[in-house]
Parts: sequence; structure tokens; C-alpha cells
Amino acid sequence: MATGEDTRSRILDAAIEMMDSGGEASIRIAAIAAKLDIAEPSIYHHFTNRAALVEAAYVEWYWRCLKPQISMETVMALVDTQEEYVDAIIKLMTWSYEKDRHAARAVRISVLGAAQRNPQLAKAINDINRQFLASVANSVKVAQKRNWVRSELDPVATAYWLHGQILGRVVAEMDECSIDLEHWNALSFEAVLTILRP
Amino acid sequence: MTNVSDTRTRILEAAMLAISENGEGAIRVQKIAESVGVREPSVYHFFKNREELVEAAHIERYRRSHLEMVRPFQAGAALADNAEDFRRIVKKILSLVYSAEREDIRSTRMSVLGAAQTSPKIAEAIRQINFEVSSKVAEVFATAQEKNWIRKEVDPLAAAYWINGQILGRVMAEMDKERVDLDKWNQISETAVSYFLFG
Repeated sequence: MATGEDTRSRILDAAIEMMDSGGEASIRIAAIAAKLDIAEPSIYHHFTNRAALVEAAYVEWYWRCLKPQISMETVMALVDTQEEYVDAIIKLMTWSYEKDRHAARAVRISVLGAAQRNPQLAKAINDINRQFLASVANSVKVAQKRNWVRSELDPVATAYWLHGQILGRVVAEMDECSIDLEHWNALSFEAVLTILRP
Repeated sequence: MTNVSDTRTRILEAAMLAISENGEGAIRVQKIAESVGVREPSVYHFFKNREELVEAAHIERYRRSHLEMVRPFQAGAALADNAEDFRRIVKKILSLVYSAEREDIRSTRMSVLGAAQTSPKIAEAIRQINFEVSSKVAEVFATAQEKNWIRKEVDPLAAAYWINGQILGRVMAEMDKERVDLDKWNQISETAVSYFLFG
């Protein structure tokens, strides 16, 4: 038998799927209930109203697209020299920019876009960013102690700036016909290395 | 006599003004019609419904918010006599782009780009605007390259898109001002931009 937690996450799955194909406006409670073969009131058992469901779906969607990242703690434990550190950063960025991760990049923009008009969602997203980017900021601190990264950089600002690179990639890839994405990647790598290297 | 496209533009202008003053929620089709001096059905002649009007107004704000920064950049670059002048212009424009007064318009950009991810129609409009704007910036870069003011190996169009993308990172940072020191964030972005343009 499905547990309450299962049902909740299946509702979120269905909502995310609708959002993914038609945006927030396409989320229909009745359609979700029909799809999952449950009664509409059981959706309201998990989410007070449609707005609460939409918000929870955005947060979950955002979380999922960040989750598969290799943690920076792991990276820092694996590298012993500055050269290895730089190498690892470039590998992580190359991976973030891969074609099949386009959806993960676009979702971030979708959710951040929605958060501009929804202060409560913005707060939830800020919390996730803080949590996720704390490990990036920590890795900058560790690298600074080892003299691999310029000491004058503010670790938190650096972490947010680094993550911003991924958001900027979406602007370029929306127009793949006009812009050479390999050139764009090269620029981004160069910019990141310039900022980090002492 | 005002022609049809004028009326559409005037409706759009009124909607943009309403958004910038009181936010999207404040848009009332009837009020917009009144302020333009047309009847409500004429608004629906140009925009299927309120939603479509709001969407068009956001896209037009997105376009103008870019051009507002591109025009002074073009003018500044045209007036520059040497590499040093050009560098100063780039720095000046970046500080305008990141200024506190433009926070609202930066937020609009993120919001419109967000909507574009699940709407092919908005995505196409945005793609055209980004291309129009980035080509203009790339043209300035290419001219500066000929004069040896910026590095030869930079791809002007990729550089223009990259700089445009920086703004999205800025929006994410400024969503959480308690956590991120924005002056420090600006320094990082400025250093990166000036390095790859000037070496």
C-alpha cells in the first residue's frame, strides 16, 4: 500500500511533469488526481491549496536539478595540488555545461524566474542556494588556505558568482544557431581560472 | 490620424508603465484602455487577453532594459580615443548595469527568461532580442579589436552573450543580500570581464 509520503511525492512528480511541458499555468489539480487515480481531496490533504502545491513543486524541481552535482567536499578530498584542483574545477564545469544537462540548467532559470514574483518561493530558493553554495564557499576557503586560490576573494561571493556561470550559459544556448557554445565555454573557463588563480 | 500600430504601442506603453510602478498584479485592462483613450474591446483586438498583454509588456521591458545599456555603450565606445578610454567605458557601463536602481529590471529579466523555458513563443521573442542586443555589443567589441584595444583571441559574439549572462548570476546573488556581499560579487565579475577583454 502506498504510504502518505509516497502519495505526496507522486503528486509532486506529476506537478513537475506538467510544469516541465507547459509551465506553471498548466498544473491542474483534477488532472493530477486523475493521473494518480486518487480523489482530489487527498491532494488537499498534502497541500493546502493549488498555490502551495505549485510552490512545493518548484522547490522540489530546483532541488533535483542541483542534487546530482558531485559535492565539493568530495572534490577537495581527492585533490592534492593546485594543478589537480584546477583540473577538477574544469571537469565539473565541463560536466555542468554538457548538452544532456540542458534541462537541469533551464529548470534553474524557470524556478528562479518564478521566484521573482513570489517572495515565499524566493525565500525557499535562497535557503537551498545557501545550503548548496556553502559547500562551494567552503571549498574556496580550503583552497585559499592551501594557496591555490587568491586570498582576497570573498568565498561566498565567489561561490555565487561561479554558480552564476551556469545560469548565463542558458542565455547563450537559447540561441545555439547564432553562437558557438564551444567559444562560450572557453570564455567561461578562462574567466573562472582568472578569478581563482593567485 | 493615429494608425493601428500606434494604438498597440500606446497600450503596451501604458501596461509597461503600470508594471514598473505597481507590479504586474496592478494591471487592469480597463484602466489601461482609459489611459490610452480607447475602449476596452480595442485592447482585446491587439491582445487576446490580459495574460497576453502582460506577457508582451514583459518582453518589451526585457528588450528595452538591454537597449538602455547598449546605447550608452555604443556612444561611449564611439567617443573613446584610446584603449584607456575604452576600458573606462566598459567599467562605467558595468557599474550602471549592476546599479541598485536597476534591481527591478534585472529581476524582470530573470522572470521573463524563466517563463521562456516552458513557452516556445516567449523563447523565440527572447532569442531574437538577445541576438539583436548581443550583435550590437559584439560589433563594438570587433571595432575595438581592430584598434587593438581588446584581445585578438576573444570571440566578440560569445563575449557579448557571456557578459549578458553575468546579470543572471547577479540576480541570484541579490535575492539573498543578507548572505552575499554584492560589492564583492561586483568586483569578481568586473575582474573577470576586464581580464578576458584586456588581458
